[in-house]
Amino acid sequence: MPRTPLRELKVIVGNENVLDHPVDLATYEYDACLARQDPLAVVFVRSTEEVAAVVRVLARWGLPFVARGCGTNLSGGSLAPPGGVVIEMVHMNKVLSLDLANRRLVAQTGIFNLDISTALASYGYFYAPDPASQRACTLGGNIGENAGGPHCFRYGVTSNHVLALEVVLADGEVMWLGSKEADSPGLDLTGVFVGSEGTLGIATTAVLRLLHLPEAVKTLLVVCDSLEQGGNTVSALVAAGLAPSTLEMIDNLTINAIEDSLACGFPRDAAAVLLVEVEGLREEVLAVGEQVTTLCRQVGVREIRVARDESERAALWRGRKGAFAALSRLAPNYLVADGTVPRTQLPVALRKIKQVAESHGLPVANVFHAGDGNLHPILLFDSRDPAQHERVVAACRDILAVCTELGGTISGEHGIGLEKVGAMPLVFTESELRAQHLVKEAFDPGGLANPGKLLPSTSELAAGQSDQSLGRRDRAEATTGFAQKGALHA
Amino acid sequence: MPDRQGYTSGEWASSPTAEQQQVQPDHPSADQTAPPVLRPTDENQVAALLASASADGTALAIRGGGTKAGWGNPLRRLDHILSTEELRGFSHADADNLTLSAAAGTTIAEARAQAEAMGRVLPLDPRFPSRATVGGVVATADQGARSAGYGGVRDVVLGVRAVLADGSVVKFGGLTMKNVAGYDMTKLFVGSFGVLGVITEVTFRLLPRPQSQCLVILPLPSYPEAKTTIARILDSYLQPLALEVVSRGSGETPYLLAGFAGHPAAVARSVREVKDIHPAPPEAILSDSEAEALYEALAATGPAGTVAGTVGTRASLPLSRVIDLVEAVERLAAQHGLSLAFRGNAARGMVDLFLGLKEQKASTSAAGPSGATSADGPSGATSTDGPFATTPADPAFAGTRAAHLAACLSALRATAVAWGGSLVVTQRAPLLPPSFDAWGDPPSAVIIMRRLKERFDPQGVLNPGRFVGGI
Ligand SMILES: Cc1cc2nc3c(=O)[nH]c(=O)nc-3n(C[C@H](O)[C@H](O)[C@H](O)COP(=O)(O)OP(=O)(O)OC[C@H]3O[C@@H](n4cnc5c(N)ncnc54)[C@H](O)[C@@H]3O)c2cc1C
Ligand SMILES: Cc1cc2nc3c(=O)[nH]c(=O)nc-3n(C[C@H](O)[C@H](O)[C@H](O)COP(=O)(O)OP(=O)(O)OC[C@H]3O[C@@H](n4cnc5c(N)ncnc54)[C@H](O)[C@@H]3O)c2cc1C
Repeated sequence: MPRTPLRELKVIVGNENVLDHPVDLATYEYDACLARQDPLAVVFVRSTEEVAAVVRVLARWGLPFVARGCGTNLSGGSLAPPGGVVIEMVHMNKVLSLDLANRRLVAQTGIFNLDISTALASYGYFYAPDPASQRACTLGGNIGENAGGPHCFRYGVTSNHVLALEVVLADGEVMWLGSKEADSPGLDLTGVFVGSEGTLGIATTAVLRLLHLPEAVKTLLVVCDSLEQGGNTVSALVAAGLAPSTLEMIDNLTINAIEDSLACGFPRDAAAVLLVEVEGLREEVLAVGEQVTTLCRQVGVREIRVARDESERAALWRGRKGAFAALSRLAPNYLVADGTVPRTQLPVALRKIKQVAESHGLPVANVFHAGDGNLHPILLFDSRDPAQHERVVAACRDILAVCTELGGTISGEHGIGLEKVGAMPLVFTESELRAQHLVKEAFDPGGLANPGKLLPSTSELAAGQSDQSLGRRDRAEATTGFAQKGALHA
Repeated sequence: MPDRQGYTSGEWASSPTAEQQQVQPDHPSADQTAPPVLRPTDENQVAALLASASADGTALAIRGGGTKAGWGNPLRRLDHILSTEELRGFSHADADNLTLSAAAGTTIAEARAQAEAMGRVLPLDPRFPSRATVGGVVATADQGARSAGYGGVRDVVLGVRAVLADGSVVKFGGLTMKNVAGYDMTKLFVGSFGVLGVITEVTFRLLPRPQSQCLVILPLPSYPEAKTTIARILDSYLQPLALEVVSRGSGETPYLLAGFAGHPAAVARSVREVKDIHPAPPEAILSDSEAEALYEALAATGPAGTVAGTVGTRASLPLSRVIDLVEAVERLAAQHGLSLAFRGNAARGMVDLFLGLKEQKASTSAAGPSGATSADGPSGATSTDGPFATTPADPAFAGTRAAHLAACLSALRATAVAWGGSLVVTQRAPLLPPSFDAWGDPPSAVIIMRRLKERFDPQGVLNPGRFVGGI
């Protein structure tokens, strides 16, 4: 029997762990943003050794690959590269060790984000990054995207909490970036790997920093009369140096979508609400909670509600975390733009984004990490109408332009993937892109790890294509993808 | 209240603190071999200098405040010193967004003063803040006692501007809290020891100024009790700004400094709880400006720049091993007849150790202006003249003492490594044998670090040989 890559892979992981039938593969081609891409195969792995063996086979055959967690990323990052193999990590889901004295947890990267918190809850510790998708996304995917979440306003994002990584490089070599037990000298390769969207290799094991659960938590719902008032309140809270752990904003369209599907108790007539959480020592929570209330009154907000008990608090969070899903009821498709701005610019950014959406005749919803200045304008549309397609593309471009003009950038937490790869020249010069290619080459000289994502290719750079043309072409492609994404979530 | 010096400088209580010592002159006038110093006044000049250095293979030592000349390995080659001292000031200061951008040569003290004028705090607490520069502190990721609350340097830097070896100017990160556009290149530059590029500007995330702060000074009657107290504080709801074990010398058990900042009620509660946790009453409780002054004194612990008879090292360890290492080093120092001072960050697993030759203490200042031993080329031969002469006054005597020092450090490193940690040289005394690598055995990931170095600096002109694995 002739050797083929698929046969070799089956020898390593067993027949049942390699999907190569078109019917099975269809699930995986749908997942990402771009025009469908048939993976050659999907391989389920269960250990670092298996990942390394699989990658070595692929390296020998010169086949590109992508690590995939749950495929919930919003930028096309886990779509198979053309002719490539999807390495599915979800079975690598074990906690390997818990060392409370050193506040470290070691886990395989296919573990669900929420399962980490669950494993820790009874010990009084937690792992801070809490993406809204935490029920259905993996640690590896969080590492790939440097995911954030509502509580990152106080605690920082994934890269602030991942201390070391065991990785399999694209040639199959296994190594630790950083050390399992303590800080280790050398370049901060862990820091660079986090957020690299699977383009530098596959993380198989991660060492996480644990935090002690806070003693007290207070959850406030600040009801605003206008979107701008919401933005002003956020800016005022940040400027006053009050550091709540969460500062999320939800606008009227989203509130009503949430109430229609989940009925969480948000006021339907509010132009916007802020979900504010203060945590820490009892004394601090009391004091800061009062300061927040006073300041919100000064800004002139309509009402401040306090969650009376855990069930009220849980309801508010259920609404916040279910917001995207709720919005998908409003239109066949939606597009989440993920720009950031300095917090002082939030009111301006919100006003301009509204203008952009209006000028393109598109409804826009906002539910986002306001404290971090991380906007998520969600454009609602119907991809079956080509005219709407074009308008969404244009609106997205204009929104990213608003963010960069205000001193921000084109992605706060969802990544570049395929969706925004064409927009990279909007924020980086050629030298800056080349420097990033040096990093890619140092980790993956053969270019087999998730090629085509995150960075415009070197040939595009070398050809000196203008920023404009790069940007336009890829954004047009991206729309196709948004359409499928929306369909999937609907 | 005991003398403040007593908490911070241990056996150095009588010797001048680093901040009081003279900055070494760039060109000792008698010395013709000192490398010329280049002082670019803006980023374009840095770019031009680097482009031409790469073109003709001129090796450059990048110098900030000159406070860490002995940190890492001596350079393999050195033609010119590139000083960032003329790159100063702030291009951006936004109090309401809590962001500040400072040029690389700005001192930490200047940046702190700027943050304070904005009603904010710069969350950096490196050693020698009055001379250490923004660029040098970020390039070494040096963070001190208050990092228990501030986090590491990597956690407070939002963006960098840098000039790469080919002279290209790059900017990564920026004014926003979150940024995942492209690779997190900022992380690559934080702690890169100047081997990938010259940092020209750094943007920091500032903190609101705390309403109040307190620093509790606890005597530690014994090491087991120290361990228990630290473990209990770490396992409580308290959020210390600092949790530092500090030597007071002469074989006595050290002090524990527990610092808190925030709302007055929360700070008061923290102090109460620490008192309940610890078996012995506090020696002192310092508030606000007094606490600030002690942090400052702490940051000046140990010799700045270079002092011939003293070797500084920094150990990274699992938290539960901090006290174990302190015990081990005391034993080893006594065994080898060495003087010892240390500070251990119990919340971040980092211990700074200063080991010296007791007998030679009085004459150390005569041993030369610097401890940076320079090797002339890859052969590793030690130069014997110039400002980096390694020959001590009395070679025979010093030889045996140096052997003790090296043996002690090797044993310490082996201990730290066995516990999963590391030990690096932050202050290289001439007595330390050139063969004692500042970083220890490189990790397997050094392959990637080398590939990065080869790609970012193909001619090897930036701080050649300074960093891990000879990069
Ligand atoms: C409803 C909804 C809400 C969301 N809310 C948030 C939010 O609040 N904050 C936020 O940041 N994101 C959010 N996201 C985006 C998404 O959930 C995150 O990006 C998440 O981290 C992706 O995890 P995943 O397991 O689905 O990864 P995937 O989508 O499978 O992969 C993401 C990227 O990581 C790479 N990757 C996966 N595993 C590995 C590995 N082991 N090693 C190396 N690379 C790997 C992939 O190649 C890909 O490039 C949301 C998404 C949805 C649908
Ligand atoms: C006359 C003279 C001769 C010397 N001869 C030698 C010699 O032969 N061999 C030798 O090894 N050293 C020599 N040095 C030491 C060298 O010039 C520097 O002092 C040394 O590189 C560390 O600089 P620093 O202490 O100022 O760095 P700090 O500012 O304390 O910085 C610490 C580290 O960060 C790096 N760094 C600082 N600022 C930046 C920045 N903006 N971007 C990137 N990296 C940065 C530094 O290179 C250093 O490694 C000499 C110095 C002098 C004055």
